[in-house]
Amino acid sequence: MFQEGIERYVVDTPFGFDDGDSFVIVLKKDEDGWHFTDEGHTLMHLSYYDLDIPSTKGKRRSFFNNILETHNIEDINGELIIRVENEQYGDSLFSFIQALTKITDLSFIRKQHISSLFKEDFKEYMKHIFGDKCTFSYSEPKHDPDGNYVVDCYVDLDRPLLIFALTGDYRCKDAIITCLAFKEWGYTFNSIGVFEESKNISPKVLAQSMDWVDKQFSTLTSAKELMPEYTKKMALC
Amino acid sequence: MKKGRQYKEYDLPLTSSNGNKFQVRIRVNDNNPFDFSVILMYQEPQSKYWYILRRYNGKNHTHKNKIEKERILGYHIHKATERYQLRGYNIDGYAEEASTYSNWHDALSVMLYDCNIKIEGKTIYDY
Repeated sequence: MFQEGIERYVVDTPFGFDDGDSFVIVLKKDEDGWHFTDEGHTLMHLSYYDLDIPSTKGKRRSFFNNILETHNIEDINGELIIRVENEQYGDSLFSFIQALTKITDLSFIRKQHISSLFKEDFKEYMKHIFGDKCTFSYSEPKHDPDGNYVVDCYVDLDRPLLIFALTGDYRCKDAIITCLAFKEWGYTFNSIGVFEESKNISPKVLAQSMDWVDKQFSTLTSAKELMPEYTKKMALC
Repeated sequence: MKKGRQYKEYDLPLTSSNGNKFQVRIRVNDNNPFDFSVILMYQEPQSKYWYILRRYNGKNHTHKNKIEKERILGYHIHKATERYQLRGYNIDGYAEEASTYSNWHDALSVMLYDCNIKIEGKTIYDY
């Protein structure tokens, strides 16, 4: 630990991010006493890798909030701090490091592409693009009252748009069957499939889905990049 | 600066003359001018995955090269290497000490020079 500024001490620890950079931990004093702070570095560091915690919703945000609560960390507009109670500097520092480690692990969750997070991100993005026109987990009320043919995101347009979140072979086959059912019921529609990871789909199923789903995006990242132009070109918005 | 952040962010997409997609990403902490990162990223066309090729960092933290087991105190430049990637570490896990910049503006200039980035008819500051 070394002093750098008035009542500001930099704490150098061996703990850090996956890329080898150490956590930023600074011991500071304000009107409420001593506290450890990351001076806003942790969330900034995660943003290098497209993990934008302040804008995150759903499960990832909930994990983040749980970590803060468990370790008595305050999030002051992106600066994470922990107060030192009863001069227990060691306890506070240990808890702070644990919390930063867990927060860093949230980027690992992103890498694993957990399906539930993919579906949340899928929903969030479709809402962003199509707004109130989206109905999630839609089933056609007249022909399919039991909900056997579910569309992940139904977009209510003059020519309806059926969008499927494709997490694996089974979901691909479901999407194909649902498209065939809508065709059988006499609907004219457009369809889009967004793969969680197209490389995880077996070649046979991938070929089948290419025959029956109009447009496919290999990942949600690629959909985010290419879908706005595609929907504009096809006059789908 | 957006709400909930303690840093300024700039993301500038670039396309090379042969169509490859890059991005210059800059992050500067509002609390500490020595806490910044100037990043060059490359997008693999097929997977759309972004790889960090270079990262010009400030000096508010130390860095440890996990393979060489050496620590760097101060400004440092992360460089994408195959050997880190092959061993399962972050592709940008290796860094070298830097002495050619001391603020993010200079770090950006150094990166543009090092990586041979030239923008026809404009400078990056025109964006």
